[in-house]
Amino acid sequence: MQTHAPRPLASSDFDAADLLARARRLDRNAMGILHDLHYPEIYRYAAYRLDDPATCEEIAAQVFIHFLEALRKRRTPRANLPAWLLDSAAKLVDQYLQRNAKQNPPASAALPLPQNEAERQRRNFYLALRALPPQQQHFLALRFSGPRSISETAFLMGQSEERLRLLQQRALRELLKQLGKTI
Amino acid sequence: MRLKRRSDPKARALETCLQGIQGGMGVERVLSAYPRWADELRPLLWTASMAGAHNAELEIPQTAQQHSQAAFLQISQRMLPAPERPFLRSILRLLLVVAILAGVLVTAAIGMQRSSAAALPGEALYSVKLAIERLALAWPSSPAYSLALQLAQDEERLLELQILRQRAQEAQISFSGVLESMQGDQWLVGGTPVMITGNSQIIGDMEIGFYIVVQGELQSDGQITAQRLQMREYVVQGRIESISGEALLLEDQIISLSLQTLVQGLPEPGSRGRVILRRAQDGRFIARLVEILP
Repeated sequence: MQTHAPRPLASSDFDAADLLARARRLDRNAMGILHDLHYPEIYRYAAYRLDDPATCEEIAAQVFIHFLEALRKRRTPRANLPAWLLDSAAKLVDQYLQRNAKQNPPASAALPLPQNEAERQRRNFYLALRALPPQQQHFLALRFSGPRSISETAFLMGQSEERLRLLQQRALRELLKQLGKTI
Repeated sequence: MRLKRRSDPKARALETCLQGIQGGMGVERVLSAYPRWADELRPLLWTASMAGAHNAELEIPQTAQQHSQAAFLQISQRMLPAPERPFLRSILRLLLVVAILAGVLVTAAIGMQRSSAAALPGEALYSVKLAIERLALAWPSSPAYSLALQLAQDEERLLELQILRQRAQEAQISFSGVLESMQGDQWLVGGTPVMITGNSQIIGDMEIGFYIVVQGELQSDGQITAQRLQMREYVVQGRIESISGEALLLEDQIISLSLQTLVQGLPEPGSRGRVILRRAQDGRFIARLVEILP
């Protein structure tokens, strides 16, 4: 039986354009590589914003189903696939949070009391993050879940570095304010 | 706009400080370059360190990743063009070589095979078409590919039925569809009404919400009288990659298990199994029988 030990795949190991072109032709090997290459960063992104591993797994899997749907409709990007995948993950996370906000009482009341200090900090961080506008949550998750440099984050968000430096400043100020409320 | 950008030096200072910290410098050291803004930047750097530490030790769930990849590959392979086509092409190529060697007789056989691809029930070459399909299934392939092939053949039967109805033609037909309702002598199968008579043979238990096979007679008015009905079952075999109480990963195919699933032998990762599946309306393939091969 083949074991499924994590494969140390890195973007630099592959020609991204070639991989995407092969994926468009539904080349099985390329699809497998593409999945293993991007699954971790998508899961990390979702887990940065959501304190629910099962939902994060669901979202990460769903992103790849969306990718197949886009392939079928010939709407996949010609380049910058990671940005497309992470953007898809962001939309799914936003939808989940909106749905959850409508169905459930405020998160602080719904969550069980944390068991220890680390868990308490973690929960406070999620609560503070969730109070931010979606664009700031998205930025912080991209910037710090990698972690990625500001230029890498700008590339993924399709915006200028200058603009993202301002967004970073606003997001950190707002996060600080919210953390102050939760601590 | 340019002036505006230049008027935000604090945003740049913050980024420079963050880069310094990421490069291993201490907070006070990076702030020493900006003494005027140190009090303002310090809490933001603290917040950034919180943001950076959040979930830093996160581990990627390997099982979830494997399941996601299996589903991704399975669906992507189903999106490939009708899988019997490449196989038919390869058969045709093979027959061509034989034809060169064997002469006119085999060349005639190739012609027959080509013609059979579009044959409809009741036509002379239809049995050739079915024989080629059976041959395709006998060829070794992965479970997902084999399943895709069987689904493609189901689609072909539906297409044949559609053409025959458009032509208002009478024929002996066979097709698969979801059993939607069973009301008296009128059943609804995949949106198609099927008439049940005293002569209709119902093999085994029928379950609404699952695919069944209808063999029967198509009349010129489009009505179908069933002669034989049974659950649609697919057969796949391959190596068991993993198994849980709810599902089985047979090479590249996820198969659901239920309380009704019969298991012959001890299924464990690495063993080879033959699985008889039923297809549910929601797209799941549910094992009726898992047989461990020697």
